[in-house]
Amino acid sequence: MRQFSSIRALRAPSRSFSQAAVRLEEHIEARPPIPATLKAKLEQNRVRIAVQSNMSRTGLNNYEYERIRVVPTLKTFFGGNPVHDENMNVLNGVLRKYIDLPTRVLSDEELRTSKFISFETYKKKTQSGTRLKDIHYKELTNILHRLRSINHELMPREVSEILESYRSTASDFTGAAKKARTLDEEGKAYGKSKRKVSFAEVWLTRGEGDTLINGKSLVEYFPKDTDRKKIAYPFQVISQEGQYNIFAKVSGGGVTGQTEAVMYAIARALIVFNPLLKPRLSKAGLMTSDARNVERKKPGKVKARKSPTWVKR
Amino acid sequence: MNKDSITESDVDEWLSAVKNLKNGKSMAETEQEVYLSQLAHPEPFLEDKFEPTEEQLAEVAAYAGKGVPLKSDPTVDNLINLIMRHGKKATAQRTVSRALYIIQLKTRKDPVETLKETLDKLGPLVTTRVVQTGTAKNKVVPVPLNQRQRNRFAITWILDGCKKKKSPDLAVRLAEEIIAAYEGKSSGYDRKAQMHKLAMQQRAYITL
Repeated sequence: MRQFSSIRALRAPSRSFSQAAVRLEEHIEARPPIPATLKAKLEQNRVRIAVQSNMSRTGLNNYEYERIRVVPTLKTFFGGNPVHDENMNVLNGVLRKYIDLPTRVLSDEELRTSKFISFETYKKKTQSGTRLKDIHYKELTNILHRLRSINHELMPREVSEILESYRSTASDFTGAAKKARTLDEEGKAYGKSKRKVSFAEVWLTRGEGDTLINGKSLVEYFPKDTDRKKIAYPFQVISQEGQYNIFAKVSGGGVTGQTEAVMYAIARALIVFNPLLKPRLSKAGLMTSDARNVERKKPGKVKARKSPTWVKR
Repeated sequence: MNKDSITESDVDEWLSAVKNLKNGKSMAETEQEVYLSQLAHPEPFLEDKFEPTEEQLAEVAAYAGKGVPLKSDPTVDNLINLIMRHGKKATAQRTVSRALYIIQLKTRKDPVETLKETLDKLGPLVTTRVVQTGTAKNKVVPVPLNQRQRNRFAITWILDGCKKKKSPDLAVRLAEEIIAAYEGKSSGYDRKAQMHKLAMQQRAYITL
């Protein structure tokens, strides 16, 4: 019954049900009762149920089946994205209808001032959660822009109404474009990064090379020399060793993961100080952190890939 | 104005004029209008243009012409990875660094340079591979080696040589063996000569 839970309204079916009914006659004697909520809606829509509910299925003819059958409102109900698919069907239908109308070039001004609803709003509108992907929104806006480009004077009312329903309100586009990162009011640069399962956040200031990692000094936190070399590596690349103070927070993972996470985070923070350093740092491989992770264990295997030892019988 | 003299075209003209007024000016013409229109919609004119300061330029100039330093020496890394067992890299690193320290104490030279020189001396130039011909006899074809392959052969021979040393500490054995190889006394040289000899014997199979 779950699949019918989202039906808003019911309508009398137009399709033939005879085939299904014949099949049903073979094994089912009693009809399932119609839920009370649906019954109320049926009443509202003035679909009278003349058939008694205790009557057996075999006693009904096709016409009566047609009347009492529950039908989803959307034809795309059984697809993955019913509302969006329906919208696309409607829009495609309209476009097909008016494909021959002359179009105009949209002016810059127009594109800037009037926009269509955002992805987030459309997501809410379709009510299909994460199933609505970016690509769906793209196909919607593409077709809306095509419809919008129909010449003003020949614009059919149908189209303009549809366009109006997808027009955004001003509050829709509050999110501004991505800002370039800058130093904060205390002159700190922030950078964060991941490596293996470790996550590091780093704040850099100009200084004498003092370092605090999780409240401990560098030597205390990373006793191994090779790890400390990795921390110093970004500064070495730009030949500015000992000119920044480091404050870092690291969590998760082991020593290698934490070290390299801090290293990548430092590199990220350095380009906040000076964006010109970026090409050099990326040449040293510090701008893309190593995204590899532990491979998961699989069923039927001892580890990720290791097979259990073969036993003859 | 005379009511009777108003023609259709006059009405059209007025209507179009009213329409124009309603729509407002689509194009800014005078300088003031351009300024106001830009003020009303500043987005396209506000470019986030980054202009570097002199300090920032000086920082870049500090490393100009210098190559990007490597995170670690590839040859030493190769040695560490070949010594590593069961993924214990830290242990392997400790062993190698101790060995290099011993080398430095004994030879009074840069240990990494000594290692590289040794590997260069010990590494073979060619090896032989068996190529299946499909008929009864297989060919043994000499193949040239690249730097990394040469190093690998040299390192494995040095590690084999370590097994014959007496010390319980791998670092000491490794240092002794590297010094021996540096002085030309390692057993690896015999294997290198053997390898070269075989390649020389099979030189007829080289296809160029």
